[in-house]
Order: sequence, then structure tokens, then C-alpha cells
Amino acid sequence: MNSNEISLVLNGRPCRLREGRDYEAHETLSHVLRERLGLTGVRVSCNAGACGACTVLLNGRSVLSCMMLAVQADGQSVTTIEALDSSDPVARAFAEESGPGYGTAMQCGFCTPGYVLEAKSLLAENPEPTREDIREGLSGHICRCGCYKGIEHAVERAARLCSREGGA
Amino acid sequence: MAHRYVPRAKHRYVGAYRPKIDAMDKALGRTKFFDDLSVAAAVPRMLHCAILNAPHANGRILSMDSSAAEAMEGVHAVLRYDDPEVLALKPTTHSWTDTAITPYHRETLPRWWDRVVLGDRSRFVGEQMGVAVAAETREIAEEALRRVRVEWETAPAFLETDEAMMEGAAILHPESSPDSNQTPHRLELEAVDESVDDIVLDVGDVEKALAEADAVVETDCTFGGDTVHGTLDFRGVMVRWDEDQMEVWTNHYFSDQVRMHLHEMLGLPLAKIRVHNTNCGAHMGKYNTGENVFFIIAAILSRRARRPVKYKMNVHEEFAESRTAVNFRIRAGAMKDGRITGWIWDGTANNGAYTCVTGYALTAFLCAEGMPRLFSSVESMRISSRVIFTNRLPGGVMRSIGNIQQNWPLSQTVDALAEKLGLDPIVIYKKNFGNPYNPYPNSSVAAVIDAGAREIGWERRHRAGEGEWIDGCKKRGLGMSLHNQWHAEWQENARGRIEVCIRVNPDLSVLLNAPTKETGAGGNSAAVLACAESLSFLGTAPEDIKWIAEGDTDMGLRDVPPTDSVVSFLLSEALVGAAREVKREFLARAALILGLEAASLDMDDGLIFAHGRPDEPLMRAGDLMMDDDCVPITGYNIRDNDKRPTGTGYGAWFAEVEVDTETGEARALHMVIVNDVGQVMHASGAESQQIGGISCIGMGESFSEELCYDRRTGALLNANYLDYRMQTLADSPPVSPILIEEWRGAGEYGACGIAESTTTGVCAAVGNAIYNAVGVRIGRPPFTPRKLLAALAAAKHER
Repeated sequence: MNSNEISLVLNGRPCRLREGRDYEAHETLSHVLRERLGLTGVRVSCNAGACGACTVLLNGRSVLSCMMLAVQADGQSVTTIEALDSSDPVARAFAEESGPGYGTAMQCGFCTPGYVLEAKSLLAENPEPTREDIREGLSGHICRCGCYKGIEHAVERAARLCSREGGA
Repeated sequence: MAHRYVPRAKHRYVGAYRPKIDAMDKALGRTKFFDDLSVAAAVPRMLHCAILNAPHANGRILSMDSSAAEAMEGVHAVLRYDDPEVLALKPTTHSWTDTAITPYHRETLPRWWDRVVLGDRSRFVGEQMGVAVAAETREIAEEALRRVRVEWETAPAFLETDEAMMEGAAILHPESSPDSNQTPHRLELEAVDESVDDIVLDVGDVEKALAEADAVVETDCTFGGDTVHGTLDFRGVMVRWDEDQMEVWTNHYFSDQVRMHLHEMLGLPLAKIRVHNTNCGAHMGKYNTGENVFFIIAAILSRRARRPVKYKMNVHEEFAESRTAVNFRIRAGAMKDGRITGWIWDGTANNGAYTCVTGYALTAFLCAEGMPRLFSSVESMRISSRVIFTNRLPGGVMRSIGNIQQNWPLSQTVDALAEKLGLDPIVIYKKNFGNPYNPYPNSSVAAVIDAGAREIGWERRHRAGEGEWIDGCKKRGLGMSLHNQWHAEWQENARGRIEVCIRVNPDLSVLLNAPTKETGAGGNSAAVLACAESLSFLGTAPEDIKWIAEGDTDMGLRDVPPTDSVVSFLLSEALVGAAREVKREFLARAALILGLEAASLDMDDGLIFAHGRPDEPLMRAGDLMMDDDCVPITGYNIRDNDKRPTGTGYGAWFAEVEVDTETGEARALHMVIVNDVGQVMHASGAESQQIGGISCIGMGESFSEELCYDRRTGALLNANYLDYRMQTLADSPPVSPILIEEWRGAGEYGACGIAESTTTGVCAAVGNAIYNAVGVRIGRPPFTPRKLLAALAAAKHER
């Protein structure tokens, strides 16, 4: 590691960030992604690790980007929601959820990118999660609209879509 | 089991189960919130504003030295309480959006101008006051505030109403009550043209009714004071000046209110103020109270610094608005058949530090909506009330305001009456509850109760405390509650006319200008479905329509604030007239091309034909503009609400709970929610609201959310999302949402609001289920192990 540079693979593209220009040593990963790089799908709310909105994938596993410094991502692969498109099976499962009996998997959508990435991380590790696995795996997130039934159902559907199409 | 609702009338799109129109954008993080539009990368030279949070509950600034802050590198402007421009500002209000900019005669509740912009006096810990800074970063701005030296005069904090009324307690609002912390009574204010609050009602002969009743019960219940909205998307504003014009971005509910507020406070012509509102995240009514002081502070700082200035609340500031605490002592009498003959409601509201909408939460609601629409059959009734200022967080507009404070004591009282009379509470609800617009027994009341009772298995309900033991220490119980849906069109008169515009492109794709802020309530999805429905003569599908998302005061149409959960059907009703205009113009242009009279033509599904001859189309609507000058066809409509009173439908909540008598832990095993909304506008969205009303705030207020204050200083101790415990997926119970179309309102669709009402009866149903399980009543939610163990111990002691 160069002392005033960090290298990372961001959404599939290698990039090099320079201290002072692209980040400061004290800045969190969420701050650098949002404020400096404009990746606003990384939502910041509590800024204390309690709500899960800022979740990104670090080498494919979910992390709270408000709880780590940008420099800690040096040499690693960071995936934000911006890396996904509408063909993604997990995003599709969330977007298409519409009942009856389950409502939708989001209302305002503020927390949704965090849930989608958390679900991807869960399904990568555990492709056939039980309902309890899903409830436990996503328990670090808050959806204040309360769409929990829709979210749970969407992740169950996402698991089926992923096993059929591949690619959590 | 999933219930697919049965539509009363056939519609092509309205009422459908479909994904939200913006679901994929939201899933992929592409929806833009205020904070996303004001990131440093997007707004060069932007400054950040921070405002002093009062360290004392009762503090007054004696002197201030801000020189060290002003000298700090990175600080561009400092605005103080003693600045001449600040001193010249009028006080402002936190009244809610649908009343704040409407004339007095249309108000649904009085306004109080009790907020001073950057005042010298604090009334709760954390209040924004005294001094504000604009600096290169938020951190620099906050550090500058720390360097401001303030000499304070302080007085002891008090949080409860009885403390506030003690001699020697600081008087919080001498401008309205010089000698007391009780707000002036209505009768004292009637002579002057001022805001009023307390309402006293006395009809029939309540003492006689109670004396003659077969059973009388007394309850003492408090709801509120313990919870906050818990929104994830914090409130904020960004202001940019261009010479003498200002442009504003905010996540406030109502761009037009912000424009009017800035105009009124700063004296700027409306045409020089452009306000954009963005999507906002799960505000639960919070940004309904709009005339926040930070708009003015950010505007002045930005003008002085000649740079864009962003202000966004921190988590402590975001907490500083709570559910108003209301206590009701009720005496109710009923006859053996379950008919309620008289009752007394005596209410006391803990106002917190400012008035906001407390009067509504207390008795304005009870008189305006409870009496006429909930229990109009009760002939003798007395309501008395009082509102007391304390150093608690001010109350605010939180989902189900007024209704929930009323439903909690109401349902506990009905449950207790039923037990005393040896009746099922359902009998009492069906016998007493309804409104004059639907003859008794009210068919909506019966429909929601019967559907809910079937789903929960109400026949399993046993007498209180007499269920079987499970694992030797747990017991289960069933409980229910009932309330009206309360937001129908005739009640929405106060918000005034509603504008919408449909613009059909030459290729028949559609731009829908029905501006409202998308808070998650889904007014945009419902508007698109209704637009497609109204444009069936063009064969328009929802996918053909682009909803213009952002409220923008320069776009020409006033936006509709998404308050009261009514925007879905109000916009939909207005769209009917706009579509009619579109059709008229299509036929007029077709008539010119065809050389016929417009009155002789008609159209359906995109084909134009002579009246009554749909099988012989004369031309396709899709060719009309393409073969002509390609000028789009626009239909505009401005519509006032239908004022004919229709009452509303009802909602019912049923809960099954399990209580562990050893640990005191209670949890919901199954929740059922039934809402009669007249017309479902978007089934997936409506069910989502039902589930959300239960799963998040409903369960949170029942079991886990509780503000904790330091009684000595008045400071809130858990103003963060770790210690203030909101519900997660792991906490959420099974929920059965059921939609019903029994009642019918006015207009094309005859719908009423749903979202806000979904929270109303949750705690009440859970509280009654806990009583049914273990035979103890908790007077004030949340039902925590501490309270349950204490109640169980007290009950054991009594036995």
C-alpha cells in the first residue's frame, strides 16, 4: 500500500484514489463513495451501524460502509448498488414483489439498496436459506416503512431465481 | 393465508396488484433523495450549516462571544440571535402542511406562532437556537459552534404535567400564558382573534346516563410521549442564490408551502423563489410540519456567504419531534344489551416544549372526527381537556395522530365494559359504532369485524387469564380494536383545489403532471393507474405513462402534499376531468381532419369513430398528431373537493399474543388488519401499507420503542438508532392484510385514505390480547417486560 493512495476494484473497475484529492485518511468509505464519487445509492442515515442503509459488498460480503474507513478498502473489491442493473435476480425479486398478501418489498425505497446487497451476500453464502436464515441474515437493517413481509418473500423468491438463473 | 380482495366495480387498472411504478429504480438505488442531490460531488462550492443545539432545557442566553468561531478557517458566515435581520423576523409555526398556507376559514385546526428563528431562549434540550454557522464542512461548522462562548441563565427542567403546574416552574410560553404552563383555554380566547386549543363538549345528561347504566367502568390510559417517527432520511434543505433569486431543494412534503413560507418570512416575490422537493424516506408524517426554522437560517446564511448552503439534521435534531402524550380518564356506562348510554372523557396532553398540533391529538380530533364518525349513537357525553407545556420534545404530526391517542383508551374501555357486562366486545362495537351516513348497524363496521374475526379465529377467545399454560409459564390471548378510516374527500376541504395535467405526445405516450412528493405512500403509482384508467379511450397502459416525479414550483402546477394518506384518490379524482379535456381536444382535432362535427365523434381504445359505430373506425388516435403538426394534446384540470359528507369506512385490528409470565416478555403471534377503504386504488400498495402499519411503528410502539429522558436535566438519553430500538425483519410477526370495499365515498372512485390509519388500532388490539392472556392491563404502551412483570406481581399480590 502506497501511503497516500488506495487501489480498489470499484464496481468491477480498477481504480486508484489519491489522498487529498479523492479522499482523506479520516473519511469513511460511505462518505468517499457518496460525497466524493457520487455513488448515492449508498445511503447514509444513522452513520453508526444501526440501520444497514449504507451496506456495500466488500469482496462479495456485506459490510457497513459507514463503519469503516475508506483506506480499509485498499486492495479490495467494493460493490455498490450502482453495479447492478434490472437483470439482477435479487433486484428483480424486490422490484416485482406485489402480493396479494405480501404487499411490496419497499415503499419509500431509501433502505432498499442496503437490503438488496445484504440479500445478495446472504444468497452467495447460503443459496437455499430457510425463512429463519433470511430473518436473521437481514436483521441488521431497518425498513421504517415496515415492508418486512414483502422483503422476506422477495428474498425467498430471489433465492429461487438465483438457483434457476445463477448469480446472487 | 393470502386474501385477494374482491373489487366492487370492474376497473382496467385501478385497484390492481402490480409492482410500484418506481420499484426498480428504488431497488437499484436510482431514486434521488434530497441528500443525494446535494452531495459535494454534485454541488461545487457548497457550504454546510450547523445550528446550536441548546444544552439546557430552560436556558436563556445572557451573552455570547462568537469571535473565535468567526475567525476559524473554513467558516464563511455566522448568524446570531441578536443579528438585526434575525430580530426582525416574525415568529413561525410548525402547523401542518394542509393548514399552514391555507386561509383561516379553511383551517382544520388553529395555528400557533410560537417558534422563534434563532431565539435566545431554549425550551427543551437540543432545541435549535442562538447561533448558526456556514462552513466548508459540517465538521468545521460544528467545531465553530463549540468555540462559541455562551453565558446562560438556566432554570430546572420538568418533564411531567404535574411538575409543570407547580409553583416556581419556569413559564415556557409567557407570550400566550403569562402565569401558567397551561395553554389558554378556548373560552378565555374566544373574545380575541387568537389561536384556541382546549375544547369542551357537553351533550345530553351524562351523569344521569351513568347513574342509570347497568355497568360503569373507569379507565386511565396514556398514549404517546414515548416514540418518534424514526425516519431514515433526515430532513434538510439546500439554498442557492442567483442575484436576488433563490433556488431551494428539500425533502419537505410540500414545495409550495416552502415557497410561501420563504416569501412570507423574507419578503421575496414568489416568482423569485423556486423550490424543488425530492423523494423522501419513510417520514411517517414528520415532514408534514413544515415551517421549520432552518429554511430561513440556511437562506440568510447562503445569501451572506454568496455560496450554496446545505443544512441537514443530525440524528439528535431528527429525534426532536415525538408522538404527543395524551392521558384520558374515561367513565363509561352501558346497558345490558351493550348499548353505551353515556361517557366522560377527561384529557390532559403533555404538550412538550411547543404546541405544534397537540390540540388536534387531544380533543380537536375527538370532537371533529370521533364524535360524528366513530360513536355518534352515544347520546350523553362530556369532554374536558387541558394542554400543558413541559420540557419534553415537542409533539408532532406522527402517523395516526389523534386517532391513536383516542383509540387506545377507547378500546381499553370497550373491552372492560364488555367483560363487566359478560359480552363479546364485538357486540358492543356493532351496536354502538358508526356514523349518521350509514344506518345502524353500520355495514362497514360489521364487515371489517367479521372478516377480521374469521381470520384470527376469534371463536377461540377465552375469558381473561383462563387460557392453557404453555411450557408451564406462557399464556396466549386474543384482542381487537376498531376505528374509522377518517380521511375521506369531504374532510379534505381544507387543502383546497388540486391541479393535474395530462400531456399526450404524438406517439400517444403520456407525461403525467400530478405533482406530489413520493414518501413511500405510493401516490405516484396510484396516479399512474388512475391516469391509464381515465385514458382508456386512448388504450393507454400504465407503462405508457411517465410520472413527472419532482415537485417544482416553477413547473406551473401546485403540488399536493402526501398528508393524511389521501393523495392517491384525490389525484385520481382530479385526473378524471383532465382526461375528459384530452378526449375533447382529440375529437376536436379529428373533426377538423375528417371534416365532421366533433359532437358526432367518439373514441375508445385508440380508435375514433362516429357515435355508436365503434366497429367502423374513421381514424386511429395514434395517427392524429403524427399526420398533423405533432403538437401534443394537453388536458388540464383544477378540481375542488367534493364537499358532500359521506362518512368513512372502518378498520379493525386483531391480535394473538403470547406472554411469558416468568420473563415478562410479550410477543405477537399473528396480527390481522382489515380496512374498508371504499375503493382500493392500488392493491399492492394498500396491502403494503397495512403490513407496514403493523410491522414497524405498530409493533415498535407495542413492544420496543421508548424514549428515555434524564429527569434531572431533561436531556433525551437514547437519541440514536442503537438505543432507541426499532423493529427489524427478525422481530416482525405474521400479518394478514385484508382489504374491503363496503362503504362508498363521493366522486368517481369513492375511496378514503388508508396508510395513516393502519397504525391506529395495533397497540390497542395487542393490549387487549395481553389482558385476555394474563388478566392485567398496562395503562401506557410499550408493553415491556418491566411493566408486565410489575403488573403481574401487583395482580398476584391483590389476589
